[in-house]
Amino acid sequence: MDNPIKTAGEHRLSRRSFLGWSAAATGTAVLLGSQTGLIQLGDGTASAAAPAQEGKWVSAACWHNCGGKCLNKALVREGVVIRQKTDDTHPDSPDTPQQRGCARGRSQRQQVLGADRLKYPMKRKNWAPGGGKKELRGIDEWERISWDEALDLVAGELKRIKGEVGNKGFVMPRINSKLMNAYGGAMTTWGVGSDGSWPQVEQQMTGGSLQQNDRLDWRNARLIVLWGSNPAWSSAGSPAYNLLQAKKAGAKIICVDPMYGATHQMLADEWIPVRPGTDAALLLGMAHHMITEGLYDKEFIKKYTVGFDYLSMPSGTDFKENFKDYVLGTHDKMPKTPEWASEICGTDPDVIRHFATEICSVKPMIWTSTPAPARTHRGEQFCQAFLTVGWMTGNVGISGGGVWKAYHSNQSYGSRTLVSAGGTGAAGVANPVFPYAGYGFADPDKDNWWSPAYEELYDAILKGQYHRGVHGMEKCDIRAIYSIRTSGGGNFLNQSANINKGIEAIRKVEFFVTSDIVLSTVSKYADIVLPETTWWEKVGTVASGNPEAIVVNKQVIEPRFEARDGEWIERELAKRLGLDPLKVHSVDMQQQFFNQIAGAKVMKKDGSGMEPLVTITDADIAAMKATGKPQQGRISMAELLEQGVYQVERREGDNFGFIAMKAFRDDPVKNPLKTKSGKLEIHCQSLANKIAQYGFSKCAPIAQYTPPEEGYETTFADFKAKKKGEFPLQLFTIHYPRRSHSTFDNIRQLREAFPQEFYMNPADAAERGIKEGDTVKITSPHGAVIRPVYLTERIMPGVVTLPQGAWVERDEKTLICKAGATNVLSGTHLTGQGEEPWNTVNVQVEKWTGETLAPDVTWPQRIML
Amino acid sequence: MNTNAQALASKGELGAVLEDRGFAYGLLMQAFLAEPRAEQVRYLAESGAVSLFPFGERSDLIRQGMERVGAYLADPENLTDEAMGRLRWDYTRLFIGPDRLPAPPWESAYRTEEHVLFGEETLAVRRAFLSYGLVPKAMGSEPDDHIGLELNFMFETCRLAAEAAEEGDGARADRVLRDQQTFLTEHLLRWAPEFGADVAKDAQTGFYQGMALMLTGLLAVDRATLQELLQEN
Repeated sequence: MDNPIKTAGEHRLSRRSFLGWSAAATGTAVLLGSQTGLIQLGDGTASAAAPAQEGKWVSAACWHNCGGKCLNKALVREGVVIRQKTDDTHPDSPDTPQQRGCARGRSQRQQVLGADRLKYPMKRKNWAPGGGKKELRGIDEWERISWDEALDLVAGELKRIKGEVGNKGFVMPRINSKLMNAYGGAMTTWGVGSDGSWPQVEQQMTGGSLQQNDRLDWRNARLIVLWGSNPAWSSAGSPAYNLLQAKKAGAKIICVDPMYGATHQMLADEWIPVRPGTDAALLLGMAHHMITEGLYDKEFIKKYTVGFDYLSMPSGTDFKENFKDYVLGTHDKMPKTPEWASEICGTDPDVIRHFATEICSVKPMIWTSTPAPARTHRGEQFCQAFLTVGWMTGNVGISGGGVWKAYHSNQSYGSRTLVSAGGTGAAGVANPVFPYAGYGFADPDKDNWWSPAYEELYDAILKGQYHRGVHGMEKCDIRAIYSIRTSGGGNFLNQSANINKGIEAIRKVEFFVTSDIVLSTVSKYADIVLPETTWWEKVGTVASGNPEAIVVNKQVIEPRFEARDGEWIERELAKRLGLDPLKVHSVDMQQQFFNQIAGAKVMKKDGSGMEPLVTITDADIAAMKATGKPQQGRISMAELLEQGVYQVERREGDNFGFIAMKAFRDDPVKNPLKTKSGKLEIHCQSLANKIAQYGFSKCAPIAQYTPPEEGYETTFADFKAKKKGEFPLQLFTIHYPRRSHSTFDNIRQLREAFPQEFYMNPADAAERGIKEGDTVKITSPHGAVIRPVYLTERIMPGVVTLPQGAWVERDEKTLICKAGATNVLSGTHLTGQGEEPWNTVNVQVEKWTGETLAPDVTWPQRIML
Repeated sequence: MNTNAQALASKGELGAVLEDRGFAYGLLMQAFLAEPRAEQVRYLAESGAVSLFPFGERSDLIRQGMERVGAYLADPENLTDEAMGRLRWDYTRLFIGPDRLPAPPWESAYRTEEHVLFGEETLAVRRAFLSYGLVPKAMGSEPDDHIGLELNFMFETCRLAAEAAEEGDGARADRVLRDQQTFLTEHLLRWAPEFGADVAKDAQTGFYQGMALMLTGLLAVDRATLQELLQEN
């Protein structure tokens, strides 16, 4: 080897002229300019190589929409998160379970600190005010810009567009921006996502939202029917564990689902398969058996319901429209027998009869569903049939029995709230263009709103019109999409139906701004993307969800790179738009955090009502730099912040029990429901009327079955002859432990643990020459994806599934998505109250002849909100 | 104990080695620390600084890199405003984002399986910097272990060692060189070769492809150089 020392010194003078070391005293070098990243501390601090500090555990937010609200703690040393742990604040027990995190929560560090966090404001290179080269959205180059430039550009576009077409030229999908509202408003989007068709059905048929019996009372059930329910995967936290306690206490558990999933492996004594979108037919077949065999609870039906038979029809209705005559086929000559049902739903007729008999003979029974079967075209008919058949068993208002839906955070946690966070104290700002909440919008008959439904956003942009409830079609001219998010959510492009149509719509508008923690799907197609802080970088917040616990999260680290919180962004924009920033976001985040703590309430020991939870002193208020008053509570502020959680201790027979609808059951005359009749409405004219007002589809006043769009019947070219059509398989979509909706999809360890596989029955695969592990192409009328296939008898023949939430990765030439984003496959069908029919999708599957897909854990990384 | 470095210092010959090393680290620091500026790139082209990069005779990688960067700067097409835009995009997509980064320029990203920034490595780097009273301008919000900052540290300590050598303080120069050796083996060499390979593979311009080759070559050469300097005489 050459000797480096001997060869040193050639060109020494030339090199020296660049080094500028003679000016060394200044502490900076002048090599090719003075750009240097390190600065010299003053002499006094030069020995600042302090010994390593001890790490400190900090309660760290896990803020996602997974259903759980678990305790996450981060070990922080010198501003660096070393590792995480979860709830060890009290011993674990079935009555008072620890709030332990899952694989996702334990990947929070990877999400917040991933190398691909969005770091600086970015602008799409070929965007210019007015749109620039719009067709390059999603494939353009990017430029880093300063915050000032970014904010000036955004404000400039907002002013220009407002000036040209007014505030209805803006749409802010799935969010309600206080800035936009203060600026005169913007269109938003409305409808129902998670809850499917339930909101109007439960409102109209029962007069309110369905409550559940107390979690500990579930242990008194002898039979539990879980319909379309997979809490082990879909309800993070303790719900599946709570159900296990009911099973251990002696309940038989029957699960109805197209797939034998994780919950069913854990809990089910019996699995009853049903095709997606046909649950109402199965229920009607059961009802037929219950009626013809006289098994149903006639006393209950007579005393507590209306519309079951012609004698109990509400006044002013056609008595022939009663439920019993529909089921028996009295007037339409089509009895809804188990055989009739079986042809549609795929469940064996004997199983239907046996199931119907069992639910009428084992008492008490908990009859519980989720919105999954109601996330279908004409989903109302499932909800109507589910309630009707449940009520026919008489399991209402009793210990160990009930009829309800339970999912997400309220799975087994749907009774009284025992501890709650206070409000933030931040004032709302009404949206003049849409002065309602978009989610569950219930006023299509009012005249003071303008906005398309979730499912109609893209057509509104592309075709310039949308359904405006009772007012018919309304013209619109949408120029800009505003997606600066102050608290997460809003990845609408990935999480709404028909991504291909969505990209086409986005490429039509003039301006699209987002804020994000990483380049998620919406941001990938935006013009300006602003880096936003995660909850680990904000001052703190109190998370509610589980009604028996609140989780108090503190700031873990300083904001990364140039990330700023959404409220700061909107205040800065407000200044540029000539608005008072404090009229947009009135309370700073530190004070909001304080207000949430100070306003926290806990159930009194005797169960009679709520009282303040936290003791707060003047010193606490000063330490929080907040304004407020001292108060007396049950736990000191310091202890609460240190613990990070307050959970109410439970035991059977405590004072916190609750039986849903007990007062009504005990005395329906004295305690009527808030329905028109005061009773449970099996025939519900107000529901039919309400659904008609939205203008999308019709809903009968009783539970009926009408084939949905992209249901089972449409998989046939000729249903009667049983000749299959172009898209012969039914796709439904599941929640998956790898993600919370689309969040976490980029995390490597989760990708490795939970591959995004396409589930298919071996019989369907054999017909197509498909083998385990093959890459397959799944095509619907709306798009195509490719994925590795997983063959299993756990899914019904003719039915396939793919977990929802993968980040779309579209080949721009073929438009095929290799990530398996389910919304590439789902169509934007308008139905009911604007719910999203993700579980009625028709597809064809074939072996992929292109390159085999590598496991996505090996793909490069991306991170998102 | 007397090392080669001290012997050279006493003969007034250590400065030449340190200036070579400082020049090399300084040039690469400039290339990786921040987005390219047009005046900086044009100055590199006009001044011929890249042709002065040392150690080419000892490293194929350095020679290949110098040729690649040299050819890039020699082509007037690459000095137009449009080409500057392309070069800037190359830096942006490799090291800033907003999409997935082919070569995240942080030690912590390379030394954790999950590409997590701000880890124990970052704290170790911070302590090494602090022992010389040095801190990154954006400490706390940006990781201390950026490739540009680590090269900056090597550059800065070359200067300090040269200062000591100039003053005839061979023992002090020796201590600095030992710290450099520790930093090189505990940090740069544990990730930057892989980083350099990623940049060389994924960069779209000869400029960054070449700089990455020079970086990988320099680290190998400098490891040998420091070993030799710190051997007993």
